[in-house]
Amino acid sequence: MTPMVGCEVARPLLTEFVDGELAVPSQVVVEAHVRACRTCAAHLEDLQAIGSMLRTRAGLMEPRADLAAMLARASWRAQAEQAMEWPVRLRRTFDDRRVAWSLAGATCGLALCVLLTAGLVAGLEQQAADSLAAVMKVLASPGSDQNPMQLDARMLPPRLAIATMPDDAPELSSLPTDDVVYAVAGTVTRQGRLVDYAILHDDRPDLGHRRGAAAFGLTPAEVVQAVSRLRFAPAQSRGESVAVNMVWVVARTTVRGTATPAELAGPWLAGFGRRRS
Amino acid sequence: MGVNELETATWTEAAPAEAALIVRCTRGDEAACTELVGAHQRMVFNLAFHLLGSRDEAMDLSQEVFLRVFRTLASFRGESALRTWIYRIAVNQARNRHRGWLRRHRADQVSLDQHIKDGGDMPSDGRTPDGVLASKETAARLWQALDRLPFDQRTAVILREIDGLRYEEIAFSLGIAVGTVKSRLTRARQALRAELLEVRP
Repeated sequence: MTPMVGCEVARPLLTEFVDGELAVPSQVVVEAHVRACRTCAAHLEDLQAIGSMLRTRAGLMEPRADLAAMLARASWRAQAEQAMEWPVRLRRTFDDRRVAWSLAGATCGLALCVLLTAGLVAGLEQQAADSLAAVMKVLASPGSDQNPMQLDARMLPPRLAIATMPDDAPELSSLPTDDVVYAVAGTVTRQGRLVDYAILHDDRPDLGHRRGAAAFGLTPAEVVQAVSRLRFAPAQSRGESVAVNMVWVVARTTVRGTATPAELAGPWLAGFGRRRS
Repeated sequence: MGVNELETATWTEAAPAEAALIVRCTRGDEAACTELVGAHQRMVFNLAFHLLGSRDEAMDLSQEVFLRVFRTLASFRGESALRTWIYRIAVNQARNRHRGWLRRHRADQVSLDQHIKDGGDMPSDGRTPDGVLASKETAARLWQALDRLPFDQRTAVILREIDGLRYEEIAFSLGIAVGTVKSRLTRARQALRAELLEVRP
């Protein structure tokens, strides 16, 4: 026996019923309800009429279209698109070997031009240090290693970093006991190195037969070289390290007393005081 | 009482003849392409015409659809019947075109007389001239109501009532779930029935 359902169950299923989309058991149940319910039967008839009218009208409205022309146009466009695809065009281009050789030659020529241009640019860049642009760039950055500043009172001057003195630095105390003064001009870089140095002043006593390296233990050149190996705390200007030109005076002086030994008493009669700077 | 849902139909493979036709098309066989277009061109054109309501637009759209078919045929994996797959392309192209058409013709109104004239004569079925005229006018009003429906509802009705697609095929063509197809058809038919009740003598 077919179970009976109410309108609240059957009505929502009418759409699927009219489309034949219900499973067989549900189809049977809805069909039984529609036979018994006039309202739902009228609803179902309306749905069927709607479908029928739409189909009829659609059939009448179908225009006579030149479908063969449409097909021809679509095929032509598809073929044209395929012909315009770049792999096809490329393959077609290389079918002609003369074009391939021409392209290869042009590619080699282009590569040669690129290499030559790169070489020229590299050469120009090497000479750029002497160029006006490079000079202007250096001048625009005072305090750089290429454009050192002059020391003035507002700057913190470079200081010899004793702790960084190399182990093989010459002992200045190995200088002879005679007075000697060296003035060394140079540039202390931002990294604290002394560069572009030169001896400005060499004040050594005329010791006659003792003159020369042996007499002093160190030659002036060795002294300057030793000095150049020292490291400085770089000069500071407005809180930044700057390169500065400076003259460094290295001097040994001996202070001798004016009293005669006889006037002096004590065990240090033969000695004399020294001061280094 | 519970109601059993219809089992979801599956169509994992295209028919062998269809598959062979597709392979020939993807290899550039011109005769195969012609055969494919010839088998589906009327279906595509009619769907385009019913969705857009213009012969010229439908012609252009049909060309676009087949171009799209040829471009993407290599990616077709037989997850549906070829016909359903082409429907899907046609619906998507029509939706894109419909958006542009709406922007251009939003203010346009189609007169009922013109619509009846476009529709031609309804079959008389032995009815009196007055009855035929009333039926013709009812059908025209119904079609106007269909035109006023949202695009997605209208498409579902056309695919179901005119093209006779099953729910699963409609769902694939529109890219939606079967449940959504049911709800769209129900809402669309409610609107059409309201129009029908209003017009019915």
